[in-house]
Amino acid sequence: MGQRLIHNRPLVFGVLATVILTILASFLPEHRSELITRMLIMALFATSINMQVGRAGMMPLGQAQFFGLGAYAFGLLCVKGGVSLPFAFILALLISIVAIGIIGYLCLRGDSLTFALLHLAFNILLVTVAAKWISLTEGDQGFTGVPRPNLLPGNFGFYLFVLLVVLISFILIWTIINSPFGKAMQGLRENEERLCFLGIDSKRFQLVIFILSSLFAGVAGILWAMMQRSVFITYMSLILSAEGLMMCLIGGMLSFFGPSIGAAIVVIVSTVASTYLHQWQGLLGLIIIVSVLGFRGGILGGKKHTMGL
Amino acid sequence: MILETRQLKASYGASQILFGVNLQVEKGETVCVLGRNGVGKTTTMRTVMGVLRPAGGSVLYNGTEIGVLPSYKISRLGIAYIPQGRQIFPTLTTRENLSIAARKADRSASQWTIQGIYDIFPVLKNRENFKGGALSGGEQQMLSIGRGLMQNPQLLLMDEIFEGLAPLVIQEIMKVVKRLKESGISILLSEQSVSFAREIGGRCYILEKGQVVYSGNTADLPEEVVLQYLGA
Repeated sequence: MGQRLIHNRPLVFGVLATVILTILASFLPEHRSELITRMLIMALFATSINMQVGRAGMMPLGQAQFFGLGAYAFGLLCVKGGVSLPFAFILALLISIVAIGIIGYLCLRGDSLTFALLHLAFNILLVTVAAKWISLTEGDQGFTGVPRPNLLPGNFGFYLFVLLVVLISFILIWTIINSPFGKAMQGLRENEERLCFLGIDSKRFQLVIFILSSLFAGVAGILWAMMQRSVFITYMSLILSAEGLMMCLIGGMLSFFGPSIGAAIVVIVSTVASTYLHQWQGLLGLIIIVSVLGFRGGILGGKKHTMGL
Repeated sequence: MILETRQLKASYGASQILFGVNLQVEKGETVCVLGRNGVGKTTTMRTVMGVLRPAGGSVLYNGTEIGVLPSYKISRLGIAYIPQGRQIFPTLTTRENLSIAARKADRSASQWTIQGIYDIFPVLKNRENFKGGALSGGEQQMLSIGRGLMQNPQLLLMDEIFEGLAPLVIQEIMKVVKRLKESGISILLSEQSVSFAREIGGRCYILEKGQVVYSGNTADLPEEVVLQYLGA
C-alpha cells in the first residue's frame, strides 16, 4: 500500500508542493508570503474552471461572477449583517447555490456555444447589478472590514487556514473527478451523444458539474475577501474571468494540477514582474503563446506532458 | 412485436433520407437491414434511437410510441445502440468503458457483467487497462458491443459492426452475434454484405433510397434481388 502511494504522482506532487509552499510562507517577509496565499486561492479558482473545461467540455467565460458572488455574499453577511464568520461562510455558499442553479439551468438550455456566451452575459449582468445596487454593495467604492478567522494569528496563521480550505477543496474536486460520475464527465467532453446512448442524461450531469465548479469558485472568492479584508467590484470582473482561463491554458487543461501551475505563474508574473516591468501584461501574453504553442496545450497540457499529474 | 416502424420518414435538415420505412422485429428475433451506401440504414437506426426526430410516421417499441423521446430515455427503456464507427470513449480504459454502461437487467434472468463480456471477448481482458484510443479497430468493436450488452438491453441495434475489420476478427465477432441470436435477445442489424447477413440468418429487409423494397427470410433471398439492390 505504501509502495502504491509513492507511485501516486499527484499525491506526491501535492504533498511536496504543500511542504515547499509552507516553508516559503513561514520564512519569506510578509509581502512576499502573501504572494503564496494568493497563489493558493487562484489555484483553487483556476481548478474550479477546469472542472468544466478540462472534463465536461464546457467553456465558462465568466467564472469570476461566482468568485465575486461568494465574496460579496460573505462580506455583506459579515459587515452589514453582523453574522459570525463560520455561519457567514456557509450561508454565503447556500445563497450562491440558488443563483448558481438558476444561471446554470439557463446557460445549459442550448448548445455549447450558447453556454459560453450566456455565461459571459451573466458575468456582465452581475457586474452591472453590483455596480448599480449601491445601497447594498457600495457600488464602485466597495467596502472593507471583512474579517479573517482568528484561529491562528498573523499572516502565516491566515496562510495555514487558506491552505487547509484549499487542500480540502482539492481533495473533494479530485474525488469528484475520479468518481464514476467524473469519468462520465470525461466522456462528455468527447461526445455528448455517446453518453446519451448509454442512458445518461448529459444535461443533468452538466448542471451538477456546473454547480459544483461554481461553488468552488465562490469558496475561492470568500478566501480572497478575507485576504484583502474587503470586497470590490473587480472581484467579479471580466478580466479576472479571462485570467482564470489563461491560468488553465498556460498550465494545461488535461491534468489536475495544470491550472494550479498556471495560477502560480500568472500570480508571480503579475505581482513580481509588475514591479520591474512596465509592460508586464505583454510578458503574460508572451507566456501564454509560448506555453500553448511550445508545450502543445499548456505546460502540463499535452497527453505526453501531463507527467501523470 | 418489440420494434416497429410505420411509414417512418426522416431528414437531415433539408435533405430527406427516409421516405416511409416499414419494418418489424419480433421479440427474440434477429433481423438484418441490407442496402448499399447511403440508402438510409444508419439513418433508420439513429431515428429509432432518438438522435433524429421522425419527420413523419412512427417508431413503436413494445407498442409505445418513442419517436418523441430523447436518446437517453430510449436507452433506458432497454434499447442498446452499437453505433457505426464504434464510438467508444478514447480516454477511458476498457474496463471504464464497460462499467460506465452497466445497468441492472429489467426482467431477464441473465445479467451481463464485465466478467461476462470478458468471457465472450477474451482479448478485452488482456486490454483491460488500456485506454480506449489505444485499442485496435477490432478490439474497439468488441468493446462497443460489450458496452451495449452491459446495459442489459432487450433490443440491440447494431450498425455495420463488421465494417473495416480483418477477416479473423469478423469471424470472432460473428460467433458472438450468433450466440446472442440464440440467447433470445432481439437484434436489428444493418449490413452492406449479403454474405454476412446469410451467415447470421433470420429475416432481412432491403432498403433502397429510403424505402423497403424487399422483405423475407435471408436464406431465401433470390439472386436477382441481390444483384439488383446490392450488386457491385
